[in-house]
Amino acid sequence: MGAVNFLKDVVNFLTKPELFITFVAIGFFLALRAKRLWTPRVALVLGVAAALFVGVSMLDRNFALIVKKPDNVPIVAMLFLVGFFVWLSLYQAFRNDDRMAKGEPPVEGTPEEAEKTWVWPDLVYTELLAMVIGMIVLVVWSLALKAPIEEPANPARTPNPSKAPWYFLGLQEMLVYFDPWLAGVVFPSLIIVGLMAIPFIDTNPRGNGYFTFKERKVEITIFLFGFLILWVNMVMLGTFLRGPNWNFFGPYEYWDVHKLLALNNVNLSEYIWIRGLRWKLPGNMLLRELPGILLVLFYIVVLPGLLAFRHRILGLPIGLKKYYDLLGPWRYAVFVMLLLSMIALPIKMVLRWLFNLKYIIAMPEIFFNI
Amino acid sequence: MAIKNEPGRDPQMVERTQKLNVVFALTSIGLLVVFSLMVWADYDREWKKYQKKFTGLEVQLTEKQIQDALGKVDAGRRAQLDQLLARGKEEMASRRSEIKKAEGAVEKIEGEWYRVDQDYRFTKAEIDVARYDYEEAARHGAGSAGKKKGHLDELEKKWQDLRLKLEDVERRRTEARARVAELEKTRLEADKTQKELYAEKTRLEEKLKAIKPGFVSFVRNLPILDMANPSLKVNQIMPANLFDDVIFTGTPKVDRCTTCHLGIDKKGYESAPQPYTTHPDMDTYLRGAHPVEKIGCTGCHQGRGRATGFQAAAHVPSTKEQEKAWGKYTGSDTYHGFHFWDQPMTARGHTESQCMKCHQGAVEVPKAEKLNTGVFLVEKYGCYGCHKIKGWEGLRKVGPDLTRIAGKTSEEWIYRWIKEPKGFRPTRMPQVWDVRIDETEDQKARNNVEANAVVAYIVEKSGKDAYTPPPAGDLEAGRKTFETVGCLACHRIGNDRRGIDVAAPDGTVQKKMDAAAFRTHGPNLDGTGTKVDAGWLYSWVRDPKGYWHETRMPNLRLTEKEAADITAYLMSLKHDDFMARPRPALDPKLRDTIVREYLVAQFPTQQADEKLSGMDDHAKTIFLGEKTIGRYGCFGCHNISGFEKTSPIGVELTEEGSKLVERLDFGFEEENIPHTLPAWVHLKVKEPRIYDRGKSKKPEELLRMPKFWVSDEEADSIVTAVLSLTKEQIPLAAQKQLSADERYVQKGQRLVRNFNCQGCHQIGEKGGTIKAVVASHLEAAGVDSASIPSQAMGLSPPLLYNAAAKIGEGSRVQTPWLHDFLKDPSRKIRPWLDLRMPTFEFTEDELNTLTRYFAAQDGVTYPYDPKPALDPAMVATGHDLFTKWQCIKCHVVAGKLPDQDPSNMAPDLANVPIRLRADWLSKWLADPGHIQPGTKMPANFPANPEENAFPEILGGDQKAQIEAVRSYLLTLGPGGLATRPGAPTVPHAKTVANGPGQ
Repeated sequence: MGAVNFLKDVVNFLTKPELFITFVAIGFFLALRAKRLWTPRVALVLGVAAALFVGVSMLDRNFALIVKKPDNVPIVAMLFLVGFFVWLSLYQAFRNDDRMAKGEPPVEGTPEEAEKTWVWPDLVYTELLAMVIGMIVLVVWSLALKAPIEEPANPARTPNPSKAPWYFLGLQEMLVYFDPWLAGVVFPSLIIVGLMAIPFIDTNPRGNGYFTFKERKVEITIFLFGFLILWVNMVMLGTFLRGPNWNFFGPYEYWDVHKLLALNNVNLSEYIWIRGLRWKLPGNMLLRELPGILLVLFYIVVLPGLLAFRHRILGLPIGLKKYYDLLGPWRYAVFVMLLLSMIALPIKMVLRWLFNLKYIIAMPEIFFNI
Repeated sequence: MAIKNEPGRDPQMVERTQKLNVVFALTSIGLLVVFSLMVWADYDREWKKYQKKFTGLEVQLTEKQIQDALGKVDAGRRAQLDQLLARGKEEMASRRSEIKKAEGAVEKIEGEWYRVDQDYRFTKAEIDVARYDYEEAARHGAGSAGKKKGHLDELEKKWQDLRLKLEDVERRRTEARARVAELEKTRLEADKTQKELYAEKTRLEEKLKAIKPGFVSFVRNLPILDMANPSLKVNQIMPANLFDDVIFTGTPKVDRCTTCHLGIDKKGYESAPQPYTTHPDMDTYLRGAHPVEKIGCTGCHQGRGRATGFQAAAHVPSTKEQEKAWGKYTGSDTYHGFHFWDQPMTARGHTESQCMKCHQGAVEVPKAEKLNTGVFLVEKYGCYGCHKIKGWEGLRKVGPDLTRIAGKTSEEWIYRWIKEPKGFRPTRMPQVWDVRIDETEDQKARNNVEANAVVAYIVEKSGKDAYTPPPAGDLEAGRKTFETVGCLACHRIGNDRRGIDVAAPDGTVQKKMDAAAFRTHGPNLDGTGTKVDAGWLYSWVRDPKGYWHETRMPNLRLTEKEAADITAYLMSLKHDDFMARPRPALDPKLRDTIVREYLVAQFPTQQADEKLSGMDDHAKTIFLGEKTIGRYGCFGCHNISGFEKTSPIGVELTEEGSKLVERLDFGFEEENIPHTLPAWVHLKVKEPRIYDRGKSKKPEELLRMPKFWVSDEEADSIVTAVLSLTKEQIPLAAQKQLSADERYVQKGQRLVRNFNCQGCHQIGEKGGTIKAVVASHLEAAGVDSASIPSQAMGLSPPLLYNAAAKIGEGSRVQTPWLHDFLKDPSRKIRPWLDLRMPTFEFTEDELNTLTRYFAAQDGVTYPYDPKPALDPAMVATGHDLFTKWQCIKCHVVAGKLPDQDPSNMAPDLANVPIRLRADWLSKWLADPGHIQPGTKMPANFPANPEENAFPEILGGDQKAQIEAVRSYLLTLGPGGLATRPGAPTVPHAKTVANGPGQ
């Protein structure tokens, strides 16, 4: 009993946002390098392990309560599906990379794969079967999990926690770190704009019609980082690990409404003026936020330029000169803006975890906080 | 399998297609199975199980009823019937050929009749057509009009002929039928008898046939087919004008409870298991005043009416055992209530809390004993003094005035009293200090300091009256006076249970709550000698309102001697061990600490310290006393100088009955009590500060409600009363509208309750508790126990309203007289009574309300009653009867007492013309026992003329004799309507016993 509780406490500890997101991010990069491991057997083992983990965890009452909620069951299913399809596509990509390294064409290029099939009866038959199976799944699902009808809406009683639909939980999680204007308007717009801009900035002609990783390393890494770490991961966090008052609760932790966590966050201007220089905050808003303004200006004005003209910065291979040369100034500008915006999120998160940083620029008078 | 390849068909795809065929087959079967599951899941409903089971019960009950009906038929008559049937059969057999011939004749005539009748009717139709044709032709002036008229006349003649023919056929038919009936006479008679004898049984058998499940009902209830006319269906009641509150709107109530609760409105299921049990007291609650079609179920029981499942209907368990047992409904080991409905069902035992929604303003809701007791206790304990409750504002504070307390009692007594009131005597004052379950020594030390400070403050601010010591009194006489003059109707000494416990018919004693009794209206008087100053007591007893204007204690019109005697007696009631309790001295250091806590909350620390050092000892103590009174809210129950306008400290309870469970602070007591509102309130009422247990709180954050030391029964009633404070508004259209009379009755009931009239008088079912005290005196005096009840009645105040006969004081007395009497009750109607009706010093408003109340309750004219004209002859006859019946043997006349045992004496007849209503006199003389059960007045004028004692007077006519006596009585005494001719005058007033002290 004690050992089980100890394990549960360990899991609860490791799933704290600062640790969890960090480990998942690091794990992601390591996994992309460990091509040897992307075999069906490893995938099967991992899949079964994940299923076992969920299954065994269901014995814990708190875990079961969250996972069995009719709203959350499809999220669990989707997480398995996401894992499966990411594995499937990268497995095929690595397989193709190996073949192409040997000089063979990718699997999609082999004559067998290039054949056509008839719409009738083959495709249509498959579609029919897909419909029948889909129907069965839906009916069984609706019999097992009834759609919840909750209490009459009462403006005097807000549900706690008050969660957005699952597809917005990533944004709701971002609200922890960013001002609502940024997290709710600017970033979602940038996401959509960014997705639309992909054809404009991704001029790599390779990988058309066949899976490959080596030929599209950067593109795939950036996209998967944004999708898996900054989107799916946040959705999972928001669904399973956020409880009443948007407090963090480990998967085996009881959702205690009374749990209190001190959110003593400090603005950059306060750090510099009050704690650093031991003065009082300047009355003039621009002067007060000058450090933050300079930092942000550096980030969005100086850094892109710096990256454009260097291959390496301070010895690290993070220069983007290659892309500047490839894309040209306009495409590069769009690309680097989107990239820097995307990276800003994990940067801010790390700053929050390490320094309890609230805002880099805090101008509540004009509702502008970064 | 050999598949023909289409030209250009890839064999690999063919193979694939064959594999997919297998998948298709399997998934199709799967789809079929899943669809069947879906249909079944929709079809298989919880409530159908219950309905099927109930059908079984109904069949069982009907079969039993059939057996009973059969049993009722007496064996002899059954034998007779059998004989008759046998004879009938024989007869038929012997006359078989005749009967056959007669029946044949009838058949032939039937055929003929059919033909003739049809011709007759067809001809009538043709006549109508012909008439129309003719009239049309005539209108248009066509030449054929004449022909048409001729045709019409012909048809009319034909019709008349047919009519004659028809009548003839009918006559013959009747004859033929009669002949057959004659032949089969006996058999027909036997059949008729049988039908009558077994009418009930036949009806029940038909009912059984209709309800018994068979093939037809099986088919009716099959899936899909049950869309047409199922026998298992959801039942619902939709009361008009009642709505469920869903925050943004009110949806009309739809109560589907009767889908499972099928026996609720049928007699015969009283011992059936739930949910089939018949509703208790079905006639009151499902018919009568609360017809179930108008009110539904959830109007009184709450819950979610539209649900058709057990948990979905928001059923609530009433005990922890039931909670466990109901786990089967939610598939878990304990029952989970339905979280998504804000008005879960009121748990058993608190249903009466919902009565108040419609019976607003009622002092007592008929039949709602628990609720009435709860409301009574809330008034008694004065909860509204600290907790604002809408409708209860502006009421008098429930505890005595403390602004002049220094003259009444001593500081030493006050300290010990406020530390533990119930240590002195039974009281309703709660305990403020040392009541927590987890009270620490530190806390107790602080409590001592606070109590000392409070005492100092109260005494300091009190008026300093000095009372001269009373004259010496006779203790024994005082005791006797105290016990007989009427004090015991509102006061007790110690744990006196007379008038509180009720003797059940089987001889056992039912203990009732003393807090909810009429005799605890005033404080318990045990230990008075230790508590009060003798001079104060002497002054109080003679004029209570002189000390405290708002006291409810009336003026007993005591003479100085009586007052002195009573004072001596009460001062002899001591409670020395109470005063022997230690009184720890005020610890100055701790006091300073607490004072500093208060100052630091108001001022910056340095300023607070300065203030502290600036105050001297006395100032600090008084300061602490004031703050403590402000913290604990003593002024909610008592008038205290300096707190006249302070708002009370308690939470508002106006809508406490609607409070959401998640808003309640259960503290760390969640595992100990069910997670429901009634359980929370119950524990709060019993242990008000328990929800602090386990929490780390600063002194100023601790819960402050004092402990009332209520019993479980009292707490239960109080919970019902608190639950009745809901925010639900019932539309006026759904409520019964009180008539004007009913409103006056309600207002009067409120005054009756406030002044505790029922301590002495029985009004309705309750009251008259002083009679038990009188009875105990008789018992002590050695009177034989069989005659105690009637003697006690003779020595007790009168019954003021007989609920069974619906007749009381209103129909008895004249309103102007009642008004004057209530204003000054010293003019005794029953001079022999030791008990004395006190002077209440009513305001005119109250007098009007009370007199109107009595009149409205009886439905008599107000304020004047008709006075009959008096016939001198009748007056004389009446006088004659009056003498013959020797009324003055028992009745006091103009103050002259008859020579009788006091318990046999009867009211003063000289008052009759100004006091009694003439109408009532007639009713009284006709049947006294109907109006005042147990009265010693004999029924002198029986209704049956043979039993009349004086048949020669007025022909023995009861009504006439009564009128004669009445006419005579209406001439007696002061205010008589006319003089009587030739009769000796009755001496007027000016004799003893109009009441001492007048």
